Parts: sequence; structure tokens; C-alpha cells
Amino acid sequence: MTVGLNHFLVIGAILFVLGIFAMLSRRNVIAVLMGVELILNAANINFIAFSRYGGVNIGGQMAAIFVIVIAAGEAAVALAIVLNIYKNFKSVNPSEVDSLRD
Amino acid sequence: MDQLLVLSLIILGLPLLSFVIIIFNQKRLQKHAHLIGLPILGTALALAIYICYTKLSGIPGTINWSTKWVSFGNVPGVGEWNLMTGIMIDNLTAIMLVVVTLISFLVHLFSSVYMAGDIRYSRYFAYLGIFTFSMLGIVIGNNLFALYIFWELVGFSSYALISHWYEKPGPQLASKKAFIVNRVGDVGMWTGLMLIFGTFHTFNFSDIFAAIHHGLPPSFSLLGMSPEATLTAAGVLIFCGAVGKSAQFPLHVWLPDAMEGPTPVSALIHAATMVAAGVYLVCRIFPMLTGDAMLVIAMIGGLTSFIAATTALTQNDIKKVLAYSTVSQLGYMIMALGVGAFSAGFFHLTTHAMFKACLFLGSGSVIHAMHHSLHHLHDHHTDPQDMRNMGGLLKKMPITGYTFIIATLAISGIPLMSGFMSKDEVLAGATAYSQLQGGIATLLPWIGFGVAMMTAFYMWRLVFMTFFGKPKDEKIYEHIHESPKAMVIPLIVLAGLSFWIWYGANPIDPANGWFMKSWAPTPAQIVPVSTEAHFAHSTVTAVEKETSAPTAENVHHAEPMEHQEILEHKTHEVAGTGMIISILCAITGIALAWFMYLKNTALPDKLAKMFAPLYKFSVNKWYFDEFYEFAFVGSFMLFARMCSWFDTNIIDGMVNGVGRSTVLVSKIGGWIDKYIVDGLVNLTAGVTQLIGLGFRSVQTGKIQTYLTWTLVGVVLVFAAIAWKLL
Amino acid sequence: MFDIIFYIFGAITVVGALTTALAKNIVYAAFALLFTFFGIAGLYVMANADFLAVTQLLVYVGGILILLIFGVMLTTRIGRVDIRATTGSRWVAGVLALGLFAILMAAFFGTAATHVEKGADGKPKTVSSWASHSSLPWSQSKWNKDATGEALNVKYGSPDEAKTHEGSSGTATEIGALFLTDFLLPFEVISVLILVSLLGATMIARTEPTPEEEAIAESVS
Repeated sequence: MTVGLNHFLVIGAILFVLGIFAMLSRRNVIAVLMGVELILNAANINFIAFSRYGGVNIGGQMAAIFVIVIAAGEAAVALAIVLNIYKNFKSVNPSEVDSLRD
Repeated sequence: MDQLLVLSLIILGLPLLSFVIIIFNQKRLQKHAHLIGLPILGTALALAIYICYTKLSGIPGTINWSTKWVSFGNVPGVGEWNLMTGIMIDNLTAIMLVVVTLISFLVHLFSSVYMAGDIRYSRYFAYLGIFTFSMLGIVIGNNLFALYIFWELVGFSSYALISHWYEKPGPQLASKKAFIVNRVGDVGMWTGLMLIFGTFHTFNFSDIFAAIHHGLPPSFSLLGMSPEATLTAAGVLIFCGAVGKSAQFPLHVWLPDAMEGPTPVSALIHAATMVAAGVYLVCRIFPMLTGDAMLVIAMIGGLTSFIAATTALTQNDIKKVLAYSTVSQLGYMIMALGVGAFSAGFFHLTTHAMFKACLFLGSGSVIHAMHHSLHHLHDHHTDPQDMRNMGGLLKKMPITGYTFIIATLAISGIPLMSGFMSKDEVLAGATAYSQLQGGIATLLPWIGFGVAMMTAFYMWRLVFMTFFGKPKDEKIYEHIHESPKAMVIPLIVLAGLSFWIWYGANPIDPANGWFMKSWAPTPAQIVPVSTEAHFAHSTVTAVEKETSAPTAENVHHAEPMEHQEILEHKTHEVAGTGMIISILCAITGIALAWFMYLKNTALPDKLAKMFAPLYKFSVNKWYFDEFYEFAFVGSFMLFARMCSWFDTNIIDGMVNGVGRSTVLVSKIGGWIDKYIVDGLVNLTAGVTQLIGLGFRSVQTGKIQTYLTWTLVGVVLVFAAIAWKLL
Repeated sequence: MFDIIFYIFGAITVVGALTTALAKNIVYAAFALLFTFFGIAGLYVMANADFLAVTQLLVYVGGILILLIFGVMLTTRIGRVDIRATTGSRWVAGVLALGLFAILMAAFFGTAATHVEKGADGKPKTVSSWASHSSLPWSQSKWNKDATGEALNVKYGSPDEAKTHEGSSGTATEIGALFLTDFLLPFEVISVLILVSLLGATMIARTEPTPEEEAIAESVS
């Protein structure tokens, strides 16, 4: 079976699902962030795949570049938040950060 | 002529400039405010002298300039109508400009020392500026409306100046009193203004006079009165304003209280500005006064001078004596105008401005010295204004003392002084009028000569108690010093102006002196013949034949000049006798004062005991304040109390009734609320609580739980879509 | 050859992602993420996106991953590496993830790669779902339109064409040109966004010094 669009999409789907899993189950905020990065990469793979095999062409790559840039910004802000959470709760376990309830 | 108009506008603007500069730089100027005020007023004075000289020496008649101020367009019932304003310079204006700026300049100079160290030094000078500005506005305006505006500005600025030391209750009350009492007069004045305006649609003096001369329209009527009677009413109503400002009976009560202000301000108010404004107003409306109105004015003037003179006899506060003497002299002026002796009245206004300013500033100098002496002794209980604490000051303060004596000679009417000339003319006019008029007017000369004697008496009483005799308190006396130059120079200048030579060459014939003869001739009256004074006919016919020489002027002015010709003729007849009586009165008064206060000092107390009721009546100022307190303030309070009773018992009763019924209604409402509405609410809340219990397990506050639930939703939705697609 | 390389890169990516998602040691997870990013970069190259592959390495590996590792080091106390067993929610997460994966797969493979449509001659014919687009050069594709329907770009073709341009330097030229022409506004906006987010991150992460720390700082200076 020649490598085509679906191969890329499947790899993207696997990354996406693993990212979701990491976000839901990890007990460390940093690991949750890694899950988010996986999801973003999954999206990027899809963009590229459609750029190559779909009709999107170079537009897909442009979208992927914007995603990368936003991911960088997101990582910076998220890590700053994580540091603050750590300072306030003395923990990076999202289960212990439950002040949202109040 | 244009040059004079521009210069007069500049004179008007200069004090305003001084006010604006100082008021916006109060903090910055502080102790140096007089450095702004003095040069500006000095310039104004120089310009005023120039205008006065030019006007009096070369230009006859009136310089008039009008401009459109507000355009009202086509007003129903009036037609095309514009409110005009403008400047009028006649001899009156020219002389008043000099008087006002001169006194104001000297007061500025005097104050720069007298007020030194005051906490509101700069503000004081700012208000002096606006006071002068307002007065100049009254002087140069050519219409009643502009005059009224500046009139109120004078009221305001006098209020501000009297309440200069507003921390003390005295100045507070005095300023309030001055303001409110003036309002009472101004209501009358405004009514008169509207009466005139409602018919003639103009405020301009010359237009009004022309319209009245042309013939009164039948529509000129107040409350159904005839036009002639209405003209009388209008004159009296406008005169009400002068009653307020010039402190005439019955509104004279504010002036003595205004002594609470700084002494230089008293000098300014009583000599040149505020009180002069009233007299000036009567001078301005003089041509339109009917015979009846003039009788009223003359009687009020006479009554005022009598009341004030009798009160002044027994006062012990140096400034109070001067204040009552001012009221008394103002009564003279008003009386003179009322009897038709226009030039005598205006003459007295001018001479009085000079010597009264000198007296007030002199008293300021004395008070200043007393104050410093007391301050030196750390004595804060002795009143520095009470004459009973003074005595023998002439040696210590020679310049103040001698200038004060010169001014006192002038006010008592001693020959060679200015006051003699003007007072004599007033008295001669009053005598002539009483003989011609008869009836109640026969009282006027008696009042006039009596007041002249009393004036001499109380003024010399003041001088003897202050400057002669033995000092009452040696300690205070030791520390008295002559005042600094800036305070003495104004005194010398004003004392110099109290001599006769400035007003006429012959000191015993003022009527032919240049002041009365050419500077301030009596203007023609333009009222209808039927409303003129009813002079006794026998004399009229006799004089009529004599004066009806067929000169061109007499034919032209035949009707309006008639009465004045008679009056002037009569005045000449009685002038000689009057002069002798007046000198006798003055000398008697001085001698009496000398006898009682230097020769036999125990006598005044004995007399006071002997005539206790009369003495008390005078000391308590005829009980005017008490009467007003009782009649007006008291009745007002009674009315207020009635209103209050009505309020508490009837209005409040209604309110309470409404309140009680509201309470009842709300109780019913409360019951419904408690058992029906609340029941429903509680039911809702219970249901919500149940649902909340169910959801509480979901609401953990943990983001991962939320995310899980979100994804459950996503998976379910996509699964449903996929199911359908497949 | 292409297929083999693809599978190798795909395996690296998937294994890395698995380790990232499942490893109990957070440091392992971070290193596994590095491999994932490498693999993804390789996949980009396979899809003719050379510029993007380089960007992926620079930004993700050089930037984001380093940030994450810093985060790990700053928040995890030495000797207390987070090795706690995950709780029952792991099963929920697993079921959800698998369910999502199943839906995605169904969507991929349920969508026909080809379909039948009426040809130009009126006869029905089977065409690729993507063929109508992929066969056209980029300049003529239906995506190359702005809001008014005008062609956005006529100079550069599809990635295939771009690659075969004479003296082609890959997609970098093309992307650069696009950034300065058609994508200028998004480019500027994203620049501002990244600036603001960096400033915001600095602001949030900044710690107010405690009084003692201030005293120390003062005594030092």
C-alpha cells in the first residue's frame, strides 16, 4: 500500500489521541502541557498532509507555521502559569489545584 | 470729544484691571498687592483730572455715545427693539470721576500701611479695585439699566469689603445687613425702572426725558393711576434705590453697622462711592421728578438728617459718630435735591466727600495708633475705637489732629471752609422752598438749622474728647505715635481740599462761585406743568412779571424754567439771613461742646441722668434696630413659626396618615409575601438544591475532570454523527 | 524507499508519543517528546514541507521543549520525582481516547477516496475526491482566491511545482513571499500576539521579592 493521505492522517490521529490521554490522565501539569503539544502537532501533521495530498497546497503550510508560533506563545504563558500554581499550591498536581470549585 | 470718551472708558477699565490682576495672583502678590493697585489708580486719577479739566474748561453740554448692546429683534408690542448702552460725560460725570478716583487713590495709599500684615491683604486691594470700578460704572453710564447693573455691583463689593474680617460675627452680620437692606431699596428701584421702561421702551436718560417732555401717553399708568400720578410714583420708586444706597430713613440702619469693615473702606463707602451713588442717582433723574415726588424726597432727607444728628450726639465710638454724621449729611444732600436746590445738593456731595474722607481716614489714623499702643501693652480688652479711652492726642499726633480739626471746621460750617459754602446753600434752598411751598415743608428750615447746630456740637465733642483735654489713660497715651507718611499724606491732601478756594473765589457767596454757577447748574425740569410744585401764588405772580423778560432763551424755556427761576430768586433773598443764622448755629454748637467736654466735664453725665429717657433714646439710635427686629424680623419669625406649626400639625399629620395606611397595606402585602410568594420561592429553591446535589459530584474544581466530561460530550456527539453517516 | 522512510519516521513519532503519554517519569516523557518532534519533522520533509521541518526542529525542539524541561526542573523537587501511580481516571481517559480514535478512523476510512461524477462528455466516471484539486496548479486551484474571487498568487504553483522550479530553494522562498504579500496582515497580527504573550508570561511568572529577600538585595548592593 503506497503511502498516501490516510497514512499521515492516521499518525496524526494517534498523536491526537495520545495527547488527549496525556491531558486527562497525567498527574503533573507539565505532562499535561506535553499532551497539549502533542495535540497541536497532530493538527500540524494534518495540515501538512492536506497540503501535500489534498488541494490545499502551500496554504496548509502557512497554517502550520501560524500554529507553531501560537504554540510557542502558549507554551511560554502556560509555563508562567504553572510556575505561579507551583508557588501558590506547592504542587503541580492538577488534582490538588481545585480552587476553581469555590 | 472722542478722546474724552475713550479716556473715560480707560478710567473705567483700570480699576477692573487692578482687580483682575490681584485676584488671580493673590498668593503671589501677598504683601505687595498695593504695588499693583496704587499705580493703576494713580493713572486713573491723572486721566480723570485731565477729563475734568477739559470738560469744565472748554466743552459745554453733554458728550453722549451709545452702542447697540443686545438686539431683541422684533418684539411684540414694541416693534424693532435694541437694548442700547453707552457713556455720557457731562459736568456731573467729570466731577464725580475726579472725586471717585481721588478718594479711591488716597484710600489705596492709606490702606497700604493701615492694612499691612492683614491675612487677606491682597484680596482687600482686589476688592477695592472692583468697588472703584463699580462706582465709576455708575458715574459714566448713560442709561438706567447699566446704572442698575453697576449699582448691584457696588452692593456686592461693599458686601465683600465690609465682611473683610469675616471670622468675627460683627462684620458677618453687618455685611449681611448692608446687603439685605440695600435689596429692599433696590426692589423699589427696579419696579420704578420697569415702570418707565414698560411705557417708553428705553433706559437712556435723554430718551426718557425727551419722551416725558413730549407728553405722557395715557398708557403710562400704575394700578389705574393717572399718568401724572404714575410719574410721581416712578420717581419715588427709583428714589427708593437711593434710600437704600444713601442710607436714608427708613433704610439708614445698615450704614452705622458697616463700620465693622476696615476704616479705609468706611472712608471709601461714606465719602465717594456707595452713599454718593444714591445722591448721584437722584441728580440723574432730577429732571423727571414731579413736585409731589420732590416733596417726599425733601421730607425724607430732612427727617433722616434729624434722626441721625440726634443719634450722633451721644455715641461714644469714634466711627459711629462719623457714621451718623454721614447719614445726617446725606440727608442734607437729599433734602437739597428735594427742594430743587440741585447744584447745592451736588456741591455738598462733593465737599462732603473731601472732608468726610479726611475725617474717616483721620479716625483710622487714631485707631491705628491706639491699636498699636494697646498691642504694645498687651491689652486686648480696651476698645481702640472708644473715645472715652482717648484724649490729648493732639500733641502726640499733630498732623492727624490738625487735619482732623480742619475737616471738622468744614463739616460744622465755619466760614472760609468748603462745608460752609455748600451747607449754606442747602439751607438757603430749604428756606426758600419752605416759604414758597408752605404746609409741611415749613419744618425743613427748622430741621436744617437745628441739624447744623447739632452737627457742630457732636463733631466738636468728638474733637475735644479725642484730641484735647487730659489723656484718660497715661499708659496708653505714652505709646501713641504719629502715623507713617503714607497715612498722613492723604489726610493733608484732603484737608487742603476742604478749603473754599477750590469751589469759588468768594467764600461767602457760593451761589456765584464757579462750582455752582458754571460747573453744576440746575438742569431744566421736563415734567408736565400740572405736576410741578405748588408754590404760593402771590409770590409767583410777583416774580413772574420780573422774570418774563422777552429774551430768546426765556421764551424757549418759558415753562420749564419758571419754577427754578422763582426758587433761585427766593434763595438769593434768604441767603444772607440764612448765612448769619447758620454761622450762629455753628458757633453755638461749638461753644456748647467746649463747655460740656472741656470746661465742665461733669455736666454731660448730669444731663444724661436728668434727661434719661431722651439720652437712652439717642444712645440706642432711636430704637430703630430693635423696632426692625420686632416689626420685620420678629413678624417674619412669627410667620415662620406659624408655617412651622402648620407644617408639624397639618402637613405632617397628612403625611403620617398616609404613612399609617401605607403600613397597613404593607402588612397585608407582607403576609401574602411570607406565605404565598416565599412558599413558591422556597419550592423553587428546594428543587434547585436537589439538582445541585446531583451536580455537586461533577463540580470538583479539577480541570481534568472538566476536560473529561467535555470529551465525553465530544465523543458522544461525534459518535452520533458517525453513526448516522455510516 | 519513500514508504520505508515514512514508516521509520512514523514509528519514531508514535513510540515517542506513547512514551510521552504513558511514562511515569516526567523526565522520560520529556525526552520521548524530543523523539516525537524529530519524527514529525521527518514526516514534514516526506510531505515536501522542508521549511516547516526546519521550523519544527528550531521552535519545538529548541524552544518549547527546553521551556518544558525548565518547567520540570523548576517545579519537581529533586528526589521526589513524580512516580505516583495514576488513579482510576486513567481508565476513563483510555476509554475516551480509544473511542475518539475509533471515530476518527471511521471518518478517515469511511470517506471514499474516489467518487462518481458526471464527466465533461456526459458519461459518469470515477474520480479521486482530491483529484480535481491536486491535478491543478496552486495558482489555479479553488483555494487560491481572495474574497473578491481574484487569484491570490500566480507565480508559484503547488509544492510539487515549486520544487521543480528552476533554481528552486524549496518552499522557503514561497512562504517568505506569501508572508510579505497575501499573509502580511496575519503575519503582523501574530507578531504582536507573540510579543504580548511573552510580555504577559514574564509578568505572570515574575515573583514579588519577600521582605527578607529585599533586605538581602539591599545589603548586597
